[in-house]
Amino acid sequence: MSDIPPFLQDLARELEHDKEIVRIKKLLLLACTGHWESDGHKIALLDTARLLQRLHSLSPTVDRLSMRLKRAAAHLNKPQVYGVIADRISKRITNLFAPTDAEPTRTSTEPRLPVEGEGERTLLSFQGPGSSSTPEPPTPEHETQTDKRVGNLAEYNWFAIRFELLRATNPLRVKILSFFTLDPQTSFNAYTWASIKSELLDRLLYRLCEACPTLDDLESRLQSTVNRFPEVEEYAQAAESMIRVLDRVVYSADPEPNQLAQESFGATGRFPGFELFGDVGEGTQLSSGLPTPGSSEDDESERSMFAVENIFTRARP
Amino acid sequence: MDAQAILQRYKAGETNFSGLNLSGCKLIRADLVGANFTGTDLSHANLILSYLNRAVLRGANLAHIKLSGANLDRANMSAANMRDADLHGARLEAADLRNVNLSLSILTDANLVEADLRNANLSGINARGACLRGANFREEKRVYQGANLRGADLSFADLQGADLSGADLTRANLTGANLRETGLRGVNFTEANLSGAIICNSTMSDSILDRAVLVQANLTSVRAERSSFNECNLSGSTCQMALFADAKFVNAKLLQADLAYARLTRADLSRADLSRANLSQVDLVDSFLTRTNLREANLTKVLMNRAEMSSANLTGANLFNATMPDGQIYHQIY
Repeated sequence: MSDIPPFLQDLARELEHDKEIVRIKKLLLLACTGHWESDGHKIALLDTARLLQRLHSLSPTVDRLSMRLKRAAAHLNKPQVYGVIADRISKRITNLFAPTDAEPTRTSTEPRLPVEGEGERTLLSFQGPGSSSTPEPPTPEHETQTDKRVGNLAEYNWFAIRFELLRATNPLRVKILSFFTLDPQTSFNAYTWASIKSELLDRLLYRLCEACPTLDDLESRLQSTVNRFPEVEEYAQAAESMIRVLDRVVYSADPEPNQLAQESFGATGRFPGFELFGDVGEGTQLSSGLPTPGSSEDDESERSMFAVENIFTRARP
Repeated sequence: MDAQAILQRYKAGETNFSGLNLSGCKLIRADLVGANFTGTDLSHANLILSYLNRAVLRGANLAHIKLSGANLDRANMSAANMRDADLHGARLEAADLRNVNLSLSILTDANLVEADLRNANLSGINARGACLRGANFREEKRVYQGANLRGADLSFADLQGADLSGADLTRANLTGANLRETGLRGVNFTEANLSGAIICNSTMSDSILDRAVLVQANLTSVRAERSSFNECNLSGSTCQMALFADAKFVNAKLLQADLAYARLTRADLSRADLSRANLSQVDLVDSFLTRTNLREANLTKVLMNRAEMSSANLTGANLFNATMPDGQIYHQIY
């Protein structure tokens, strides 16, 4: 447990004395992984501190962490019971970092949890092979669904989604991020650059939402992709915009059927418009289908693979 | 002067680089916000993902320039030569592109929201999926000609609220494009492809759509008075509540089109094929239906007062409660 920050270890110890520790661990696991575990033996084996560490890495601020727990609780069969559990965890976390007399100058309304060094920000070691004894629980598809989920994608107004996204960030970075999130094994070369150019942005977004059924999936997979770029800051801004826009218009709890989409395309379950005309792209198709979980290793070889400048100067789109 | 020198001078506070020869310069991801490149030669330069917000590139030579992913929000590129430029995924929001030559340029997925494109030459551009909401292409007599978009690929582009009045879109590809609430007055769409396009609530009066393809297009509540749809293919389109007064549909194909509640007063539908079309409660007063094919069409409650339809094919048509040319109400159901 030496890699877990002391404040999380303290919090874990406190929560383990709670009479609702089983439900707390179930909810933490759900909020972290999207999986629901009902087997008491497996729950007992879960390490609370590890779960908190993972949750912290996914939602590094108190507000986001609380929101994540509440969203998970809201999708359970007993939302009120787990809502109380979510509030209890959030309250303890908030108390832990509430301004004290010793910190009179702190004014932020969204206090940031302490981070023990930048390298621990994503806490990827939690997922690494052999790094944890935490068992991976099976997915109880019939019991619960976690987080905000996509509805029928064909019902959304993709013109409006694209418009909002293009106003918020750089269209090319959105395309690059979407492409490599969908196909994390691909390296940046002339072929992939041509593929990015030929596939339309909203079609990439559509495929991305298809591949990420929950907002948590989208967040974690985009984060992994961002960490592979040398220009982390620029891509983090694009990813943040994507999450913000897609959260509101695609992953919202009650997606409103879109009038425009219904008028023009109907609910075919395929990308709007394309069913009418076949693939009107300029030809290049991605070689792989839906993505497999990508490597999160942030080593130098991957960074050089994503040396955008080099490929931009060489590629002949 | 090379790229390094430019960046050093900019870092030192200099912003005026007008009139320089920077042809072929590599300025990838360069931060040149607000810099002045008036009349500068940047042809074949590489400025991918660069920051040129509010930059002045007036009259610059930007032919074959690479600006993929560049930020050109509110930049002034008026009268620049941008022929064959690559602006894939670039931001050009509210950019001044008046009198610019962008012919054969790539603008795929670019953000051109509220860009000023009056008198721009956009012939042969590839602007698939581009966002052009609120962009201004408008013709202004004696000041700006209509934008030249001949042969442009605007498939799946978003032109909602844009003003294309007087533009030339001959043979343009607007497949699946969003033209909702767009100003299309006097636009030339000859031989253009508008299949699956959304043109709801747009104003396209006095436009030319001869030989255009509008299969499964949505023209609900469109205003298209005096427009010409001769030999146009509107099969499977939705034209409910559209205004087509004095429009021409000679030899047009409207198979299974939905024209319910549309107004076709004095329209010329000679030799048009409207078989299995829905013309319920349509206003066809004083219209010309010479040799029009209305086979199995739904003509319930249609108004055809004084319409010229003696040679129209009405085989299997439903004329229930239709007002016939002589003013009589038709009651028989076929």
